[in-house]
Amino acid sequence: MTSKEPVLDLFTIIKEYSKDKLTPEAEEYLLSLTEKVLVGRLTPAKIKPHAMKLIEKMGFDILEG
Amino acid sequence: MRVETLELNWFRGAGEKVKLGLESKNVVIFGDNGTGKSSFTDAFEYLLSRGRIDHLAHEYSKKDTNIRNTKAPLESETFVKFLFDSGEEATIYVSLDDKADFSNTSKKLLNQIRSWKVERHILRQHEVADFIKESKSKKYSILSPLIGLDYYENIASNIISLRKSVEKESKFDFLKGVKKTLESDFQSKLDSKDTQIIENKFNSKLQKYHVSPTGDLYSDSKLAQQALKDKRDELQPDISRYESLQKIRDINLDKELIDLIDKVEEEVDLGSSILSYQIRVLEYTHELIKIDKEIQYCPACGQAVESDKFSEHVLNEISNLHEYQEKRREIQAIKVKINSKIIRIQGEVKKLLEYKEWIGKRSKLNEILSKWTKLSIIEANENWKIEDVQQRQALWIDIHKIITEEYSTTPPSIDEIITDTAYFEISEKVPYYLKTSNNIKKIRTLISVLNNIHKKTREQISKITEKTLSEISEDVIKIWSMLHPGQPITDIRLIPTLDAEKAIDIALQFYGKSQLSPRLTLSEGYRNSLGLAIFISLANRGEMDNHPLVLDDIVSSLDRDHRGLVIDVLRKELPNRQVLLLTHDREWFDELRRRLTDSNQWKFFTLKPFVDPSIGIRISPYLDGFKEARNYLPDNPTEAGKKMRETMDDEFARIAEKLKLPMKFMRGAKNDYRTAPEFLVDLMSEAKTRLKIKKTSNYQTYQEALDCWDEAYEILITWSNRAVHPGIMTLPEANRALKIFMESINKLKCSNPDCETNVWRTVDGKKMYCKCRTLRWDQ
Repeated sequence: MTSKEPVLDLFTIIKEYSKDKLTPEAEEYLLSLTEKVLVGRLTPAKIKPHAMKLIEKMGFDILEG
Repeated sequence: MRVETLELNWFRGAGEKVKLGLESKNVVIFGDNGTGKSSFTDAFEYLLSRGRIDHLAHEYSKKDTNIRNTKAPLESETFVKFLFDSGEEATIYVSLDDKADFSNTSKKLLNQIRSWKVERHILRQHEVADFIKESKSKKYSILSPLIGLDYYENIASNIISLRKSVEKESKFDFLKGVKKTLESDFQSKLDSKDTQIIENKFNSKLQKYHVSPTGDLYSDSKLAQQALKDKRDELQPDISRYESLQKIRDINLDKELIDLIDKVEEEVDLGSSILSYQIRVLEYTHELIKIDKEIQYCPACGQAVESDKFSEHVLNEISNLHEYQEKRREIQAIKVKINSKIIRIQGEVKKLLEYKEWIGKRSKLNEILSKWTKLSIIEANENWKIEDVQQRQALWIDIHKIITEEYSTTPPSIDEIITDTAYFEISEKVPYYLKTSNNIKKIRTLISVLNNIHKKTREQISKITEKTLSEISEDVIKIWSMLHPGQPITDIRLIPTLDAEKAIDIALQFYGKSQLSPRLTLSEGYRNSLGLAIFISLANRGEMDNHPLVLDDIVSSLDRDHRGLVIDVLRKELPNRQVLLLTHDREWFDELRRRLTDSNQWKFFTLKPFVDPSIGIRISPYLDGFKEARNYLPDNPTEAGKKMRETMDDEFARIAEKLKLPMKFMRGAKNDYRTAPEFLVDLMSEAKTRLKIKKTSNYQTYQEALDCWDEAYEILITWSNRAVHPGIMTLPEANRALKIFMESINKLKCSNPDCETNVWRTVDGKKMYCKCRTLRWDQ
């Protein structure tokens, strides 16, 4: 029998790598994905709205032309 | 969670209502090949895999009816029903088109069962050694869900998908292309790509046209272009003509034409449709290899390839074809660029030819421009000849030279207006450029963060993998040493592969020397043992006490000694699991029956020979061999004889062991395959002096036993001798053999109705006795 399974702390990893790099809004949104979204089975269609939201939260200017 | 009963109704090999009464105990089922044993394994898999059975998967695609018994009456229901010791019931109905219906089972129970991993509950014979033979990446993909790594792999995969989606939705590559093009335009037309320098120069030009800078480059540029328009109108039509000349002059076709001359000869005359077809064939073949490992001819190159290298060969072929396809795409992209520039030139040429008076005075220019109007466009997906490219190159050199000369005659006033118009047209794009650059910077940051998170996640997964594999390896070493005590293969470990992600290898010590990939070293028997040790280690992980564990024909390639050790391992390592053992090995079944005598824990069943799908599987509680032989009488005396002989082999092997009969040593596996006549010869020889029966008050030689064994020996020897016996038993022969054989076994059992125990019941010093001491064996 084995000891307790080791755990991957995604929240801490994201916190560490996004701090002072992403906008606070994008960081907060990415962290909110750790609870359910990123641990599930995602198809490209399901991941698209999250990607678009992240782009928006980074302050991406919508370009014309 | 133990199984009380398992009922199959027209499911796989079962006919109507085949009920296996497990009573929450461990169960051993014996059945010859084709008696339907694996239907029980399939039922477990059907439940655990949500209505799927892996080894039938490719047959589903052919829409065969494999789940329902082929002879199931149309009006009959097909189902499997599990009754658990909790009182809960799981019933899966199978529709006529083989669809599973779980609606009659509570969601709570289904959710509970569905969390079980099939691979930790069911092991089939072929899977035991297959794992060891698989590639390192396949080993990883098999093990990762079993040891919980799929959860982490999911996260890593989602982060990468998120990054890719960010790139796609932000049009990251397109933006980078736009930025690069604008920078190139700024550099060539504004002499700098530094936006500050451009802005300063822009402001000074604005003054020339009496426009006051507002700081908004786009609006200011539009105002300046408006101011320029009046001056341009005054200079028409000359200014438009010079602009056409300038546009042709500024096109550069040299690079693409030179590139194409280099590459056009490399292009093989093979349509892309054939390429795509071949890739499809190979990809399909690669999938097929997983099912049929005997394919040895490559459908792409026709070459014969050894089976174990075939997969690699096909992957190389796919890679080569993809590379070739990529090369063709590169060449086509150059052709597209050339065509696009030719069309632009032809557009300007057409405008120039409309200046009739002007062109009438320039016969050479007229001749060259006319040639351009006649130049046909060859589609990019067609094969271009080298002459086509050379013709375009010659025409380009001619037109560029003459147009450059012609443009050099432009009056300075016109040149200035043309230059300034172009300046303002380009400058107005500076705000767009700045916005684009800013967006690229933001997306690049986001991508970099996601890449770093992915990298860190993979590092964590590697650590978790290493730790988990190390724990499993400890169990594997322990189980292996139980199965192979004192043997030269030791220290078996599952290890993550250092040079690749998502790959697992097996390391071991072979005669003290470290080795990787033991499929190269181990015999088939050892590979099976190792596969079994790994499976048991995995089955032992997590909270799975009491869960059923189905082991279907797992000892086929193990010798007698190791078969015996398997049950020791199961009892020691998985004491609480409900084990369901299925075997076609009569000898092992008999051994288990003799050893596992606790009827509160173990139950034994045999499957009767399969007659017809409409009758299906027939279960009988375990009968001893002679009773089973009797079942074949009177219809099939030869089959009855076969069962009798098997039983005699097993029974006399057991007797020899109990009496500690000294047997002559035989080389290799022959020790395991002695037959009843061999035991009888030694038994009769020893019994003359050792076996005694008490008559009145004295022990005497037990002559009746010796006579009976002699008769049994004669029957066996005559029957085995094909020179005098056809091997087919008649009914009288079978009846006589059955009588004598049963007596021959019973001679070592006391005939006293109050005793009825074997001669080895009591050991007293160097003597063995039955309970009442009527029989005695002197050791």
